[in-house]
Formats: sequence, structure tokens, C-alpha cells
Amino acid sequence: MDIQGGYTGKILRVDLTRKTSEIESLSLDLVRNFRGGAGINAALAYKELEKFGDPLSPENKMIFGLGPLVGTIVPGAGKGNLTTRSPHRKFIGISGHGLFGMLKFAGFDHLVISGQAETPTLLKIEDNRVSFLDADTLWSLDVFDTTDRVWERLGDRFHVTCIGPAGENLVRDSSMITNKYATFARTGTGAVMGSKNLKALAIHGSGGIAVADKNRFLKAVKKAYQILRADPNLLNWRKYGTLISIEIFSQLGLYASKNYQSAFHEDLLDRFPVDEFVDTLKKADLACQACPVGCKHHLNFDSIGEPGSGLAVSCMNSVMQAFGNFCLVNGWKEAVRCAETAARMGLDFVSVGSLISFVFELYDRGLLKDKDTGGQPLRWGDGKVIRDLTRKIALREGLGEVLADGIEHAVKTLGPETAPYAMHSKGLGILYDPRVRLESTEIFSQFTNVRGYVSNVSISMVERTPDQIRRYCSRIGLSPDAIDRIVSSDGYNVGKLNKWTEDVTSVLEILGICMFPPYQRLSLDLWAEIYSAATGIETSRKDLIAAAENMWNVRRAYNLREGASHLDDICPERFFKEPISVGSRRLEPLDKSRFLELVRSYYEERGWDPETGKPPFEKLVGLGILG
Amino acid sequence: MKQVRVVHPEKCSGCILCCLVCSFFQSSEKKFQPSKSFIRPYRKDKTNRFDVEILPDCVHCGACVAYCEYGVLEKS
Repeated sequence: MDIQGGYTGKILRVDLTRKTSEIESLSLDLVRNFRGGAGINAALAYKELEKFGDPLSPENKMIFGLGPLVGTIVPGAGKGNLTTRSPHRKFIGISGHGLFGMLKFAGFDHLVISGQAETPTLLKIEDNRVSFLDADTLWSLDVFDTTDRVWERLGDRFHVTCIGPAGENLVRDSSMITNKYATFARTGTGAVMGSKNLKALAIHGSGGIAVADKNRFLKAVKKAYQILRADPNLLNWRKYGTLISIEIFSQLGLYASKNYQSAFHEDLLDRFPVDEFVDTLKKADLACQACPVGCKHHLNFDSIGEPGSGLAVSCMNSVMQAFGNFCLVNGWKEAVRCAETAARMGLDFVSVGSLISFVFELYDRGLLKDKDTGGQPLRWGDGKVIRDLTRKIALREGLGEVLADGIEHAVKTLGPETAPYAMHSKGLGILYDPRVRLESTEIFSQFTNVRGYVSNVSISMVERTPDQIRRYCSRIGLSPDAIDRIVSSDGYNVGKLNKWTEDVTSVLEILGICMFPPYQRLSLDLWAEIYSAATGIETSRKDLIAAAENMWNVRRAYNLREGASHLDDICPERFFKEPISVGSRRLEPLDKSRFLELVRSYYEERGWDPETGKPPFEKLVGLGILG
Repeated sequence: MKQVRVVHPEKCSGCILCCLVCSFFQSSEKKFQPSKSFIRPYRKDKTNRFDVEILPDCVHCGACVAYCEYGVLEKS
């Protein structure tokens, strides 16, 4: 195997304890088995993170990875992956966003940060020059102010990734945020960064990315652009971003409310009119690196925050879900105010919304009293209370201290009687109600995914006929036998289908492509052609799927090594016990035995032990992971 | 000769596709390398809004126009 383009072929390793850095070559074995980005990151995490290590100790590593297409004009090729040991249950922590590609121009496919700085540090990477700068004056500043100060100090050509007070205070649901909006969210990435005394990371690169076969590459890329431009929904993705499905999701009742005690129906559209968002709040489109879709938003924040201030938001759906749906804040302006507070503090929206709706329900049920809340009544929809509680979580004050170590820890503090109301998977707040639509792979995978909820959005989020699922399976290249395994005349097995939707999105994650639906519309054959042309490594659709399977095997093996089991792949008991109403429809609780059967189906389709979910030993040996 | 012009800088999304494609076609190395591009988006006032500047060395080939999906550029 000979790499002729796409990759830089280098890993930058930074040790914050010793203030040293070194550059190592990317192993061809890693490229062969995992291709790049999230795939190689999973292998590095398995090999290099110690069994049972403390996520907040110097031994934990922050492993950043950019796929082989990042840095080129391939549409959507901006996706960066971060893999680390999560402070939630110590399982594998995975996150990604589309604005970390500057590392590639600095000359690196991967960046591995280990150790712990003695004092607050700003890590500056400019091409292959690494500097450990003093960050005393940045410590305790919020995310926006920190970013501004770093831009003033180094110049705004640098891409700045930093933490806010939440990360500094090792809050388990804290995030790392790049250029004030692109977020490595969930799985406590901010706390890991904070534990290393690393306040900010500033990267600028002046290098370039070559491709192996220029003409073949341009031809394949041209085809990708033609397909994207023909997508009738492309401009709607740009206009509405992740709110694109708000109408159909509302009709289906997918928007849970009040900690999954109820669900919004079309009434949500009155509380959050999507055209009002576009007409009055949205100021401009914003895009990740190399993205012709541009689903992010720059908001007109003058009427909400300080005059002249700007606020950029990656995912408006998570803003609405976390604060509007979960906590009953009414309308865009108040939801955005709450999001601004969370972003400044460096907290992730969905986790904060989950934590706050959890304590609101406890308060309703008398499981939290005024003495527990500092005398503050917890009223659903009260934006001021939500913003105040968000700050307290970040600063570990009052009730915030109880929530700062995550929802599972909060249950330990507040007592076992609060456990039935902790709506999470593997310590991460969930986003969609499985009682409403378990047939969605995105909703089902909230419980089987190695990290908990992940935005594995795909074809089955809305209702599909068996024929539509058959066509999808055929399009991604499944054999007739495999399709018959998944789809019957009257439905499909979501556990089995989930394996394949995960693999399709994971191919994108590995190559460094956005995983959103416009990019899923491009065939795996085309992605294989683009990859082959860029790198000079002849690769088929099957090879790419194999890399995705390898990544999932290693991620699973990582969690099992940490003590995870099939018992972690379960959804909260509330969903097995309580019905829910969507409009006039009453939806019964989930049948637990059916749910568990679907989990077994998922394991089986992955080739794992159907009872334990354990990948075969020989598969891991073959990847150089074991043995 | 037709010139590349910045007609709607306020529409710039910051995707840098213009820089990537410019550097690829104009540099002898044939690399995607924004630092060698003849078109540059500049961050405005520490926000995620951008101004776009065409540098004097631009040869007005129009590749950036072809790859800008946001209507910022025009060749006229």
C-alpha cells in the first residue's frame, strides 16, 4: 500500500506534562484497517488508553483525527473526530464537528494530547511549531471571551478551540467549542480538556493537501457536486438547518417534553414557528469547512443579547429540543438566550436540557424541595431559572453542584427514589422518545450506541414502507439475502437495519465527511471512487464498509474492556412502564422483551455474540488490537 | 476580459471552498492550500461573518465562482 495523497501521513503528539511534542508517521496498518479519522482514532484509543484509567487524569488522551478527504474540495469534507475516555462511565467518548480541518493544513492527520499542564495553558500549533503559552489570564473566562482574547493575542487566522468555566470545573457535560460555535459536544470532552489545564488550543496551518490522481479526482468530485446540486432539499437544509424536519417530526410526535412525561404534537409549531426563526432571528448562513450545504446559522442577536453581539449556532434543533421542548421555554428568543448561556459556559445543550428537565420533574414530585434549590421555585418554562441553573452547573454552585457530575451521579446524591426520572443512556441524556418511533434507527441506536445518543440520522427517522427500506438496502449494496434478513413483507427489523445505517454514516465519519442526509445520498461506490482517486489506494464500497465494521468492533471492545455489557444497552424503565399521548393518540409502553430481542438482532447483524454483544476474538486479533 | 468580483460578501459562509479550489488550480504544486489562494475570506470583528478579498495576483480564471454555492462571487 502506497499513500499518494489525501493523508498528510503524520500524527502530532503533544505531552502537556513535559511540554514536548513529537511527530510520528501514520502506520500503514492503521490506514489499511481503519482508513482514517474516527476509525483510526478508535484504534489509537484502544491501544493507548489504559484499562480502567481515570478519565480526568493525565493518562487520558485527547485523540483528534481528520479523515483523508479533509482539506480538499470534496463536498462536506470538514469533519473532525475527537475520541477520548469519557468521564461518563469511563466508556469511549466520541464527538465531532466540521471546523477542525485547520489541523490538516498544519500538516497532521491526527493530534494526540496527553499529560497535564502545571498551569493553565494555551497550546499553539502553527504548522509544525508547537508552543505552550501561559493562559492564566484566560482562566475563568467564558468561551466567547476566551476565543476573543486568543484571537487578539495570536491573530484571527487561528482556529481556536477552548473550554469555558464548565470544562475548567470538570463538569461532566462540558464541551469544547471551536470558533465560538462548532462544538465537540457530549461525553464530557470539556472536562477532559479542563483536567489537563488546557484552556485553549489555537491552530493555524499554511500547508496543503495533494491528491493522487488529479483528473480522476476532479471527475469524481464533479459528479458529487452534480448530485448534491440536484437535491431538491439542498436549499432547505441551508435555510432551516437541523430544523428542516420540524413539521413532520411534530406531526409524528417525536418531540418529547417535560422529561418524557408528554410529547408535543403540531402545537409545537405555534411555540416555535420555523419561518419566524428564518425571517427574524437568522441573519446569515454559516458552513463547516468545504461544505456547500451550509446548515449552520449566524443569528441576529441584537434584540436578545447585547447590541451588536453576534451568536452562531450549529444545531438549532438541539437548542429547541433542550430548552424549548424538554424545559418548556416558549419561543425562539428565550431558547436562544438559554443556549447562549450554555455556550458561553461551555456546556452542551442537550445534556443541560436533560439535567434541568430532570430536576424540574423531581421538584414537581416533591423529591426536591425549596431548601434543595436555594429557595428558587423550579417552574417549567422559566428561562431565567434555566439560565441561572445552567450557570450554577458550570460553576458547581448550589443545586448545580449536584448536577455537575452528570445525571447518574445526581441520582446517587439525591437518592434512589429519583432514579426512575433520570432519562439517559450510558449517562448521556437522550433526545427522542422510543415509544413514539422505535422503528427509527436513530432512536433505537440511542441505547445500543457505544457512547449513548448520537445523531445517527438516516432514512428511518420518518415512516417508511418495507419497499422503501428494501430500496435503501439495495442502494447501499446489501445482498438479496441480507435484505431478506432485514425486511419482511410487513415491516423491518430496526436492530438489523441499525447496523447498516451506522456503517454508512461511519464511512463518512472515517473519510472526514459530514454525516447529514445530503451526504448520505451520495453512493458508497462514489465515495470509494473519490477516496481511491485522492489517496491512490484502490478501494471498493465493501472495503469502506469493512473499515466501518472494524471501527465498531474496536469501539465495542473498548467499552467491554471497561466493564460494559449488554445490560448497558437498555432504555430507561419509564419507557417500559408508562404510556404517552401524542395529540389524540395514546401510545403504549414498549414491550421489554421485544426491545431486548431487537438489541440481540443488532448484535447478531454486527457478528457479535447475540447474548453478550461481544465481538469475536479473532476479528480483533486480525486488526492488531488483541493478541 | 471577464473579472471575478465579490458581489455579495455578506453571503459568505466561511466554507473556504473558494480558497481551496483557487490554490489547487493556480499553484504549481497542485495542492489544496488556502495560504496560497488568491481569494481570502477575512473574519469580521471576531464573529463568524466574513469579508472577502480578491488579491492582486488573481488571474480571474473563475474556478472560485464555480465552487461558491452561496452567491458571493460573480465573473462578469
